[in-house]
Amino acid sequence: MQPIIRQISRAMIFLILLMMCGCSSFNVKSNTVEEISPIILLYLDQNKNGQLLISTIIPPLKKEQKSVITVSSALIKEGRYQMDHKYYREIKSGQLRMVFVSDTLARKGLKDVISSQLLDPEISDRVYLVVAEGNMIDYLNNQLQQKQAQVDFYLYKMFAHYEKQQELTITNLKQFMERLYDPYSDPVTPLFAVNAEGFEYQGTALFQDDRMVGAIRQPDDVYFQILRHKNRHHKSMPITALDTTLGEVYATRKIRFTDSYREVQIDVHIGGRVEEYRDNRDLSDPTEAASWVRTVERRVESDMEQIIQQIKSLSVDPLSIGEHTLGLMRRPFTGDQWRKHWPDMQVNVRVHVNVEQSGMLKSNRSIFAPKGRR
Amino acid sequence: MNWITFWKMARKLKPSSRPAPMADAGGPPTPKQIQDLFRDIHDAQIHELLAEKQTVKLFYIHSLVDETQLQSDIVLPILHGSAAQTGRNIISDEIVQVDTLSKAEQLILEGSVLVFFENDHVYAVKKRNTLGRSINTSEQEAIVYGPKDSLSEQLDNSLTLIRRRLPVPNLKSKKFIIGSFSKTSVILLYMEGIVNPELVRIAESKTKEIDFDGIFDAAHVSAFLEDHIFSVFPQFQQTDRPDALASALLSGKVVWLVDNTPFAIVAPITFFDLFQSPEDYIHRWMVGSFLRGLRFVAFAIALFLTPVYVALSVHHYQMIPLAMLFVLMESRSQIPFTPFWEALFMLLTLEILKEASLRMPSKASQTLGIVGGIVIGEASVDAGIASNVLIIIIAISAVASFLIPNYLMTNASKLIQFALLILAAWLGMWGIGLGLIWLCIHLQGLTSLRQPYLAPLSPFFGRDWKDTVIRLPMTSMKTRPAHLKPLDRFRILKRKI
Repeated sequence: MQPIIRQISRAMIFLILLMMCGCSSFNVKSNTVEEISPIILLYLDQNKNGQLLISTIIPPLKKEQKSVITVSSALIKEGRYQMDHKYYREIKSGQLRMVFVSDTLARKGLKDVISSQLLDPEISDRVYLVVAEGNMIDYLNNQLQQKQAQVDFYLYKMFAHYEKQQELTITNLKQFMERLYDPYSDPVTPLFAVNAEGFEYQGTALFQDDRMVGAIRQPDDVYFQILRHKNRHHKSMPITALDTTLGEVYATRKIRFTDSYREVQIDVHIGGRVEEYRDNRDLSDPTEAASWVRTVERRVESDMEQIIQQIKSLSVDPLSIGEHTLGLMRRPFTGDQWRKHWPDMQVNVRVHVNVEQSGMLKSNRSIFAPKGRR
Repeated sequence: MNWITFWKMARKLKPSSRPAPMADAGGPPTPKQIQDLFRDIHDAQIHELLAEKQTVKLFYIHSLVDETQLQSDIVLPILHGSAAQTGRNIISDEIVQVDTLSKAEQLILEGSVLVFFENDHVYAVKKRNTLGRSINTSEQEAIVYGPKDSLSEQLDNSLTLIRRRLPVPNLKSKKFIIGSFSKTSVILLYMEGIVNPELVRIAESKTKEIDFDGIFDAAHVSAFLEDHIFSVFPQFQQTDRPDALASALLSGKVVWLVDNTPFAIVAPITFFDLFQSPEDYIHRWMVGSFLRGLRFVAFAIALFLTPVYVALSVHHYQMIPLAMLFVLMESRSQIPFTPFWEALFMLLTLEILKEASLRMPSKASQTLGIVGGIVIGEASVDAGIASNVLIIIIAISAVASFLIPNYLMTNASKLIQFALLILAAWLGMWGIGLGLIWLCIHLQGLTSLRQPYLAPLSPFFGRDWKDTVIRLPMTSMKTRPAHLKPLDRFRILKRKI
């Protein structure tokens, strides 16, 4: 065979082999950036007729006059097609970063909503999932009227920031689905209250299966975050009942079961410094300080026990306590058994607070004074 | 005479025959035979000198001979010497008795003066005109610290520079005359006892097989030596640095010196050799390794950055970071061309400017650079021909391509970049992947002097990695590159390994 023919035949074999891998095809659709409209925010709600209301901001990522468009449809993808017909650029979901769901829809179940997002290969699994209480469309319209044209982008930056800070509940589709199908834990999402004036973090929405059944609201959400994670750093932990704020808090949490698995012991260690204190106790006095620390511990313990009582009453396990029953060679409960067992389980919370710095000046006695006069 | 008549006449003319070896009639050549041979050459000169009791004839080509030395070393001794000592008085390092006409022809063309005595003895006295450039600093491979001398067009000078660095009898040199008209001298250098004899054999046979009328440059020689003509990658390294050549010889490579060109050819080379610079060995080894690593990164940037821009902005908007997408969409919104045509247009403009600035005189090229910079940089963005983002990408990839020390490789990378650009516009990242795989397959198949081009990566030679992508300290480089299969593996005398 001639060398050139040999080369061509080798190239053909190579191409055929590559195409047989099934990694792609020659039918690649052009997505030239200036011709498309990649949305980054989607808001889903349900109207009185039971149809989905799908809203987004167009055009995203452009310095053009923006507006919120809403379509109603039975299916999400059907809504997407309707949106395409309403706008001169093709709406693409490849850069979708946030899916906001109304609490009405969340209480009815999110499985269909999420699965349609996950089934779309264009949409990333790491799209933030948020439950919004109130009128999101009013809020977006209001922001656009106030020349906040990049509101969708700013919201995304906010979620990305708090995901790194790890102080608020931030969930993406993958994490939600992972917990949804995990028999030993239940999904959570952040809960925001929206109205025409503002957008405010309320706490954590609790889900049983795919339905929202309750929420842990501020200020208890800080304790909930501490209970959720093995180690966590918080910039501040306000304890309003004691007129105190602990700052630079580093919290560790340990979950232990008794041998009979009838009780669970949660040990929380909180280290931090007093950043704000308005009570009348003299924290520079060691006895007073120790007594005050015990008060703080009791207070936090009681608040945490309340939270646990709340989640137990809802029969949900957002703290993934069930996962701690599992060991390398140990599985005392099946998923169903755990779900039945959990609401009746005795949970003891023990909190230990270590105040590294009280933040108080010790006294007005000078350290330079003669020994006898100190 | 119209052009048709001229064409018909031209077809009837026989092509001028190449200078065939002279039919030696036997015996020494006569002045008449020589004059016939060199007829119609205006600077071929014959002089008769009336020495004591005999007439001596000199024949030489004026432009090839050093006239001053001719007078002082040949003419004066003949005129003033006694009859018995006429021949012996001639001063020269190289006097050869000429027996045949063909030998006389060769020696005259090499710059010898043919001296005819009455007793039919003919001598060729070498008085070659040594006109040429002095030893200068290398412009192509300039370094901050280190030796500054470089090869010149004179073969002897170049050889001297190398022999001074390797003053051992192991440095062997074989001379070849190639080019039927140009009669170019080519010297094959190698270190006996180090280099694999098989390499020398291949090099010799390939050099002997060169059949062409004119060889004027090292690149011409390497074009005949290379194993793969359908490849953009240089299979031989060209350098004018004698220290680099001495180092290559000690590694077990062979070197060709070509007359009338300051560049020598080194083979076999690998893909990784093209990213090495003599300066790597001047820096501290960590800095040298970093710089070498940087060149590989720069090569990847030069190849892939623009195609990736096109692939992302045409096919895979999902992969662009959100903040970047915002900038990109704004930047591209007013451009009338698709990203492919935009990138192609700007790349071609840059190449035209680069080529023009190389060909222009240096003073004009400065102006060209400024005008080009403004045209490419600002005016094209203002005019809406290119986007800001693309200008930055093109600039980064152009600067990155200059980091590759080998100029031939820099230009080869441009061609690959264009091919990848087309694949990126057609098939997106899949196309770039396809191009990359094809590139790897092509590199894997390449050889330089029949040695694998991707060594020591494939085939794998672990010990050679100490001087490939990174450069370890000189003290740890105790062995020569194993992929060259040298006869003597060790660079050190006290072998403790």
